[in-house]
Amino acid sequence: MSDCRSIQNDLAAYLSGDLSGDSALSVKEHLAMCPKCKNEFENIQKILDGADSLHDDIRKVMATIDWDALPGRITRAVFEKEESVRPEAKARTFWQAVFQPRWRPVYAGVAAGLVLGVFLTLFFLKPGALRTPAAGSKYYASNEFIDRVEYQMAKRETLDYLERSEYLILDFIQSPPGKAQLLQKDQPAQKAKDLLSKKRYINQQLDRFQMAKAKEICNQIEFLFLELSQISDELTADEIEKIQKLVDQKQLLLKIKLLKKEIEKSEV
Amino acid sequence: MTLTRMYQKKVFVLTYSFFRNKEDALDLVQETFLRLYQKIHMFEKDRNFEGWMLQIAKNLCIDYYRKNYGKRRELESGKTVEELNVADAREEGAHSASDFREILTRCVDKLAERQRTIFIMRHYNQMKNEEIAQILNISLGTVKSLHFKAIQNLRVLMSPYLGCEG
Repeated sequence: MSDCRSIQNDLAAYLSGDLSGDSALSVKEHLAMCPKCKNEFENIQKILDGADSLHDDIRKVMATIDWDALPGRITRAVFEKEESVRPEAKARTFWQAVFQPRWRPVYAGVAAGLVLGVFLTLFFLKPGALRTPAAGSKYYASNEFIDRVEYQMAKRETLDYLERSEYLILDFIQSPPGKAQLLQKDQPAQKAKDLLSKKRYINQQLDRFQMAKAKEICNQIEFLFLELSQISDELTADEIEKIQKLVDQKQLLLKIKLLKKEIEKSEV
Repeated sequence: MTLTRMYQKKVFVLTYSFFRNKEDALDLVQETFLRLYQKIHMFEKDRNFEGWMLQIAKNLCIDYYRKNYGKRRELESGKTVEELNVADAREEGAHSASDFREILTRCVDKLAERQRTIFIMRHYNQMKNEEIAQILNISLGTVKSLHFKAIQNLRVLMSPYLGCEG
């Protein structure tokens, strides 16, 4: 029985001529004595004969075809199809030529260069990004650092101005009426003029760093010094009294002290 | 043109074997040569040109078959293969050779794609196993194995018509 199964498995190959000599012989011998396998053989043969007979049908159909005309028909179809494809192909040609894969690294390099150039230009042209160094200078400093230094210097200048003003006022108002004239013979007017010129410089600093309160007091001092600078060598007692009253009224000494403290604490 | 003249019949035999419809087969022949001209630059010189061309034709046939056939044959006659088999089995001896071929082609359509392709090439197209292996780009052993399975399956599918044990 197992022999029958093995033979039946070989029937297709036997019929197709794919079996070797010995195998084909054993199948042939088995078929001669086994009616069941013989029947199976006939069935498969019927299928394969039916399939092979389709080849005859193909030949009959082929006889009805004009084979000489077919190549022309095919060639025309090929050209028609080429024509229909061509406009699109033409449209692509320009861009394909421009953006050829081998040029891509070049385009990428140019694009990167442009981006870097724009970035560097913006960076260096940005106001205050870097202070242009003075000619021949080896040192660079940021704008922020220079602002801080200038602010500290303005504070020091103002404190110095206030201190010198305070001393001058004290010298003047604390002198006895008789001696005041001698002491101030050439000094107060000259000192007042020096301080007035200093005030002109300080004015700019006070404006720049928005020290409004300090500026107001400094203006009052300035007004006093204007009076002082105009006094003559020979002061009358009335003139001295008038200036002393002005200092008292404005509480200038007190204001100067307070302002000095505030500037030292950086609260102005 | 010369190329077409040389190989048109060979391609037609293959396309007709797949569809057994003259118009479809001729369309596929035209499509094969069109594709051939478009891809001619891809042909490798050390390859068999005829095998390469038939491979293109075979691929087009499989695509076309998937898109357009399937149940088309059943729709054409209005009967499924099972109905045909039963009717024929009842009237044993009344069937003609053309009926048998019609049932056989329906059963071939029911085979799995690779089995069907090999069966068609081997029997309708009368190609040798070696040629089929080259066109399908598979080994000779695989061709033989798939051919054997195709016959076994056809034997089962056609058993009611053959009027014997399956």
